[in-house]
Amino acid sequence: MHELAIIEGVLDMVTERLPDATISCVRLEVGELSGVVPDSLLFCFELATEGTSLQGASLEITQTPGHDLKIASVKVA
Amino acid sequence: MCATCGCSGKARLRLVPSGHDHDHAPGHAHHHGGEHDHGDDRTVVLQQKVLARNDELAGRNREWLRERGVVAVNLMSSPGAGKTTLLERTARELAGRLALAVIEGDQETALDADRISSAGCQVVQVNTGVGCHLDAVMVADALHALDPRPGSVVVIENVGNLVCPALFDLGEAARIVLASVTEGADKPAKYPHMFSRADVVLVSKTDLLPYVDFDVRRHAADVRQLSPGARMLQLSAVTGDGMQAWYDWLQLSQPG
Repeated sequence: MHELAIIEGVLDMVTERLPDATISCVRLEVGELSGVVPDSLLFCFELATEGTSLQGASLEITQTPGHDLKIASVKVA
Repeated sequence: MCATCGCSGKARLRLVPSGHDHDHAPGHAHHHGGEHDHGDDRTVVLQQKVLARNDELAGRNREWLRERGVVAVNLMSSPGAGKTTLLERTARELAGRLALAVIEGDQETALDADRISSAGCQVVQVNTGVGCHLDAVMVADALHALDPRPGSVVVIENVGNLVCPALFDLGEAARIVLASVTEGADKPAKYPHMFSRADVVLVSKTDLLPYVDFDVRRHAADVRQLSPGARMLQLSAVTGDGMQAWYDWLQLSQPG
């Protein structure tokens, strides 16, 4: 399940970019051809955020055309 | 329960229609080009590619290989398609003619590395644990451990899986997908991500064609549709049929 590796990458990028922020929401853009399953991303997001500063944050996914897989934005409380 | 992965579906996932990334009250105008206020919460726009880090490290691997005069190729297939058997025979038959080195990726064990080593080939085993694919960091570490000599071809035998390895650039010069006739001819149609980025598609275990229901033409047509430029070869690593064309391709991919 590569979604776990992808979510770990997302969390690394977010915490690196905003190390001291309290993140309430992470918004991803997932291309329909990216080979990534949104349901699995959620499953992995819950697992991977447990016990971290992002625990309890929500994940919003916008499906987009094409291959791209992007962190669009984050909500900071 | 979610049918895709069995998660509890506690509804923290929201699918938003394409075109606008979030809802907001009417009249609440805002631009989408940078950081801006958004009620109690502040939205920070990142617009960062998720695989950017892997892609950057893959680029570094590519540069490292180029400077060394080494070429790496990424060999992918489902488990049991015959990747290791192909490499064993290749290592034996090209000994002295091609400097071949292998990086073996599996979740557990060094069984494949032992087989490749017994065939007289330089090899490093990577165990991914729970991981279902190799990524650029693992390959960077493996390349340093392998220390391939200039002029060699490194075959990276990815974890057996037709899904996840398709996403991760490792720094390879070519992507090879091995499809065995025992798997059935429908795999390109079912796993298009894997086949659409293939430079070479090897149909393996052709010695078993008389015994299995594998429509060679349908398979070739589906591959052609997904990756029009892919080189297609048929071979059997047991009988040796078709192996010469594979050796020719490997030797042509040798660095200058």
